[in-house]
Amino acid sequence: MNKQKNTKLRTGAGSLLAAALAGISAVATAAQPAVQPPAAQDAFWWRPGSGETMPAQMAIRNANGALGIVNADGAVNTRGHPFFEPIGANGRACVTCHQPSDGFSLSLKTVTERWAESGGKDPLFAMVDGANCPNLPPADPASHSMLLEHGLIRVAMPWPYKKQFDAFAAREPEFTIEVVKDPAGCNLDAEYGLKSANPTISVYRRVRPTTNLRYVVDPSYDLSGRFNNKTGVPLPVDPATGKHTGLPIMSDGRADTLEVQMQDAIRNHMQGMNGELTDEVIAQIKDYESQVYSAQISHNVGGSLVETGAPPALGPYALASGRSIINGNNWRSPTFMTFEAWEKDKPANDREAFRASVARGNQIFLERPIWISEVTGFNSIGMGNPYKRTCVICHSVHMTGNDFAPGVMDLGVNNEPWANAGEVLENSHLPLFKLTCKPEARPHPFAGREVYTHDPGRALLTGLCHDIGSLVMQPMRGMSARAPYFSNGSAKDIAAVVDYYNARFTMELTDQEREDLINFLSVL
Amino acid sequence: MPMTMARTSLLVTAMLVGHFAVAEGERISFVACPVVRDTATVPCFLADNAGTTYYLGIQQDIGADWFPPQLNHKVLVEGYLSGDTVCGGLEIKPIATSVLPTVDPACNTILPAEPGIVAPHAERGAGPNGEVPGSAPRRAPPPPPEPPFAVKEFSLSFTFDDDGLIAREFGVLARAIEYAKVSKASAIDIVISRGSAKLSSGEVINEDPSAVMRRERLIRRWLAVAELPTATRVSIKPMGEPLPADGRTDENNRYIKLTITPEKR
Repeated sequence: MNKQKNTKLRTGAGSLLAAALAGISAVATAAQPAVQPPAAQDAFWWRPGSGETMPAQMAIRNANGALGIVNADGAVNTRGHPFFEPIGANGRACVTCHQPSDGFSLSLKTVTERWAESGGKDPLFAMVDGANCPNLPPADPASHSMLLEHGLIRVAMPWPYKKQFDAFAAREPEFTIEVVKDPAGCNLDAEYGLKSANPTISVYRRVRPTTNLRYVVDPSYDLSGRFNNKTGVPLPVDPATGKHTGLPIMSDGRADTLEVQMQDAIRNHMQGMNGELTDEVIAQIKDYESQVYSAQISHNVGGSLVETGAPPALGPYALASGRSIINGNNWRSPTFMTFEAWEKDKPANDREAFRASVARGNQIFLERPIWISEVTGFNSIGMGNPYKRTCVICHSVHMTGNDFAPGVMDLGVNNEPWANAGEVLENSHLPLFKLTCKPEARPHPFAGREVYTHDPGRALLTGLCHDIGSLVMQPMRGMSARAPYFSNGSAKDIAAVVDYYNARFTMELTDQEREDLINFLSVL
Repeated sequence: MPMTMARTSLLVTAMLVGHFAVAEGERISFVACPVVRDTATVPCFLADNAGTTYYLGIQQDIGADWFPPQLNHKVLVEGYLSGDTVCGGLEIKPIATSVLPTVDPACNTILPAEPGIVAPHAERGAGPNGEVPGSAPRRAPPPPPEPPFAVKEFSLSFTFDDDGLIAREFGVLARAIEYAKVSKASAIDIVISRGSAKLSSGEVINEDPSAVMRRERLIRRWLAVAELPTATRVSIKPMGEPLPADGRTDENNRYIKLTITPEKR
């Protein structure tokens, strides 16, 4: 492979940007930096190996406006850069599934466009995980329906696992698994399924964003002496630093560090390395991911989200200069700070009305108590069930809204009775599994001894009934760029996310409140 | 299939405190469905037994000394009547509550807030916190153990039939392990109990043997990552038979006790 070292281009624009961002003290100074945002360009496919330079800042259009991207270290020469080069044996690069236009995730829109443009031949559709099952006819769109229709990548997990995941996982799984329904065909497949020579469970998950990662894995975040509140066991230790980590990476938290995630991606999604995954390569990818920020920068109705006087948490510049990782579940540093600037009782025009709606949405998010119930990893750990608090109790990392407390939770998007917003699980395109907890195991806290699920989540690693369906919460930024949502893509748009919570926690939102929350989420 | 939740939150159910003589300090122990009473601030947790409504506590968080029960599960309540009425129920204080593991869809009642029913003051309300956690000085960790070292016992308590360590027990176990390491323990003798509870009705319920197995598994896992001195001898004795219930202190009989013997000098 091309081992040319990445050169960070300190362009004039990049230097000005860095200077502007350096002048901000994120929490104390509730104001947008004085930065001239770039003109928005149409969304595009970042072709692996294109060798283009990624500017210090970009704005890329999406359905709601535009996503802003900031490379805090300045423009990035992607030629030879392992994030952008097809280092995988199957022609994929990191950027294949972590597209800038999609907030460094992968939107369904991009997937379908890519299929049309490439005739299904793009490495994105590699049979290993870009198909419902590897042995289906590659050229048939039906073979890729999970990816083409729902934006889902296949994740193959050996079952039962041959090696205990960690000291606190079960040596032998506490439950058995049956495949109840298998629309994609892989879990019952003779070659790749649960009864094959290498028994495997296939679950289908969305791609997580590789941006704003300082709010997810900041090495300065001191977890020493902390425990996993949700399970009462010590947090894992990063062997490279000796520091505790908080299970923030990947849907099931199977990577304690970015390095482990990279190894997993190379092995499973890229089918091996087209070269060697050296410490230098890892460092290059990590350096890049640690300095790139993205968030919605403008809205079709709401206008600029980063103009002087705009709410201080909006846009990518605020993320680039914000403090990580601090708790936003409080009044001094609320998760998305304040939207006071946009509050207006009598808006004069559509823009003001939209902005006032966003401000009300933040108010609901921050202040309106709801009955949080039957969430394993939350209601099951001593909080009580139900628990009357606001959204921010869980969406608590300042600026990004992922979970400040380490560990995993089961919101219910995969398990009965809350999956599919109350629709019948058997009608889903997702596989359906029945997990039966053994008599000696403590049953799942809210689903009981028999659990019907689309994705056993972390339990596929730990073998613990408690973990069935539990997953790592995602940051909330750049949502307008990366539909669909939830780990299994079951919310096709932002409205569906709001509707899920409205039903799940009996929020009883009025039409106006629902719209306010949708508008709020669309500008993050 | 698990049930579909049909919450009775809108039921206006009159729950009256029973009208019979209750002595302050009287022991009370029963298994019942918890009931959630909404208030203008945080919810109260109640339970009905034999026609009387009891107040168990209010919603707090995992830093609290008492953890509320969970709807969808019965709760074992053990404690003493304080003689006060709080949030519409007779207060049990001190109190120990255990969430029983079986899912019970019948335990599903949320009562609406009503004028005149007021929850006691809550350190944390139903909205964001008043301050940034960490803005107040962090509680200083206890100083590391220093010689001379003596035989020392550490006790981890559990709720009925459970093997999960609650937040306040994390530190106890961490301190025990630290003591073993610093004192270069020659031995750690661990006893894992199997408890029982005598209810006010006279019935005795025993912890399931699997709870002891799970507690043993938990402590073995902790020891596996504890990096103890190689010379430390570890013995673990899980109880097969339940400790006898006396109907007074049964909540204290669900534990893991670690007795740490320092290196002989």
